[in-house]
Amino acid sequence: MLGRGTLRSFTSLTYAWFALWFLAPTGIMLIYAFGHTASVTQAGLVNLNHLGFSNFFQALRYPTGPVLMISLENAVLATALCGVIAYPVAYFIARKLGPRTRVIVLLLVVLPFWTDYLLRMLGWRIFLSPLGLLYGALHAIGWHVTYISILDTRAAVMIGLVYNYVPLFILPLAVVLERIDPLLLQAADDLGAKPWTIFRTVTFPISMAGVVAGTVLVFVPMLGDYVTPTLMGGARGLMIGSLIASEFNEGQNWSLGAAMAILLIVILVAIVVACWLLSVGVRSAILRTRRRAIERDLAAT
Amino acid sequence: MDNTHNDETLRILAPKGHPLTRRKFISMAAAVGAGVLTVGTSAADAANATSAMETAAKNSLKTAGKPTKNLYLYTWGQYDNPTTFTAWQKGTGIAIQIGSYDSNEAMIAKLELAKGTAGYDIVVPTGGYIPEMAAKGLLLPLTKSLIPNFKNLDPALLNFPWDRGNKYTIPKDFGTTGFIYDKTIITRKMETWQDFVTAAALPQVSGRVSILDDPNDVLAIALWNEGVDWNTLDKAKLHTANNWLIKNLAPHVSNLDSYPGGTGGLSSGTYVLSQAWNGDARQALLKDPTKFEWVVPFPKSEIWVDNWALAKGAKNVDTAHAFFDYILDPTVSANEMIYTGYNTAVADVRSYLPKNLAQESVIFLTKAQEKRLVAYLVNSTNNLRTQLYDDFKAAIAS
Repeated sequence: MLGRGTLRSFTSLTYAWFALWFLAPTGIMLIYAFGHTASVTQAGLVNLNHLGFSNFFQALRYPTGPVLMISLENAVLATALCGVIAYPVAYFIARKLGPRTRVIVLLLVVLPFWTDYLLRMLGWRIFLSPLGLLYGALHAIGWHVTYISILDTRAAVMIGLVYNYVPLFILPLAVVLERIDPLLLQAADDLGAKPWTIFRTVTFPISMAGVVAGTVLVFVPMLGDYVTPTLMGGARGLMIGSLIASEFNEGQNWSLGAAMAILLIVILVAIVVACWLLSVGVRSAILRTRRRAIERDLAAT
Repeated sequence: MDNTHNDETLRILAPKGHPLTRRKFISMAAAVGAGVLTVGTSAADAANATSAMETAAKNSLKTAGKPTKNLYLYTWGQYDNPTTFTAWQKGTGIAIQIGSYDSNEAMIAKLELAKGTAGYDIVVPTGGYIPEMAAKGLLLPLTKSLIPNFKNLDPALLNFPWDRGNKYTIPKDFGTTGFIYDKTIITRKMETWQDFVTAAALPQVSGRVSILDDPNDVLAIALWNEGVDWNTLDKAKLHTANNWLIKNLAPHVSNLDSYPGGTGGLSSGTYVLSQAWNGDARQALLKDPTKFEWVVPFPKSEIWVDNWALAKGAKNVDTAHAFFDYILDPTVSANEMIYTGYNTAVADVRSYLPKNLAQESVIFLTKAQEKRLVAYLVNSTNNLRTQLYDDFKAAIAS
């Protein structure tokens, strides 16, 4: 048995590890964002002699706004699609399968992660390329298109995002759905609720925790995704990650890239906090109306 | 159908969408065994070449002062023939350790962060980045007396504006930027950059066009077309050029791909018109010689040169000079060309190559073509050029 002291030191070690490898790099980026990049012929990557906000103003110039809007639209839509796809799958896994098959099916859900991400995306490129596998399949069933024009568009980015992130939505949702006490459902059934009513008033509200977890888990990395839009969307599927990368690479402008990255973090945190406040508000409003309805019913009897 | 699939499988080995460079396709070609120039070399020839290379390696040590036991090379991934290194090691007994990068910017950032402690002796920057590296103090000057084979270099490829008198660098290989198109789909006359932009707007071409993923190569299309100096510091002219591209080219571009040939975008029909480097375009031509046409466009196009250089903080300076001498031996140079498919700067390397190389005209530029080539040097407008490129990318996406 581990003593409490050992456990505590293990825990603090985890925090130290986290601080070192997450907070330190982010902190360095934060400092760089306030510095300035000297001309290409001067030594040093980022000059920290006089700090200022100029990078942030520059980061806000065109085309950051429009590209950020495109990225937000993509991330919101793809997250919603993930949710729509993940919910029935998670429900099926959690509620319709026996313990053993459930493990196998969950394993199948995460199985794609065992193959390199790049390879899977390139597989999609082969499938969707103008004269590729999909083209061949369509021809085989007698649908003669000239060529397939999905690749290197926003639609392809959407396919890539949904394909890649949907397992991250299924997993937390399946866990929450599985843990719903069957006695609650039994009770609702005993009181005469129809299956759809049970789902609407018992299962779905409880599963909201999983939906929220899935949404955050999927939405946050999606907004900053750099690889998927580059691989699937080509030039037409541009997202904000690509702009940030180009400042670090071709631009050799680390302070501007850092400012853009920090801005993205701030926007993400703001969105997550806003959504959390909204969900807390909605939840308490629902509870309030329900309690009022129950009180009304009690008063009536 | 089968053919298409074979081409498609090539794709899997080529990581697209990364900050790729013109060298990367070579690793892919090597990995699938699509030997670039290997046609026509017999086993006996190869054995002769190997022993000649080992001799060259041995000779290089004689003039090299005090050689050390190791040599550390920092270069583009898969940008040298592996046999070049094994022959050197056999001939000299000096081990070469190789680190690789995939962009000049990444290499410069690493050297800067290490402040001379990166541990590399040799780096391979592209011409335009040399003034920047020299000014930042990232390079050491060369000692020409330690490199007798320096005389083998073609004088036309020395003394570039980025390194007058070749104080810091030795040209490794060079190439040009042009375009390649599917002549079964584009039947109009294709000679200039204006033709490139006009053809991109054709209904059967628009949306199947790739351009190089490089701010300066893209901006160049408009600057060359308008007769503006590629190296201009005039911000208004850069803005005008970019606006022209946003209006005329952006609506038709489907991808920014530095390897439309090597990664199979052309062969698979994903692109029917691509801006490309000659060595990469040749990859598509080797697969479909009758389908594609390569153009070194009027009125101007690029000459780029990659170069050997000594890194600041190098511990094996004499050994590095011996290696430079070795690599400039024509046999070794030919061995490099067989692998990379890019012309080296050694003057008579052609007489050491196998006869009748496929698509030779894409590797070796004619005098007339060379006359219209210009070089780019990274200058103070670099940040603006990156921003304009971002504007251009945003225009494609929206």
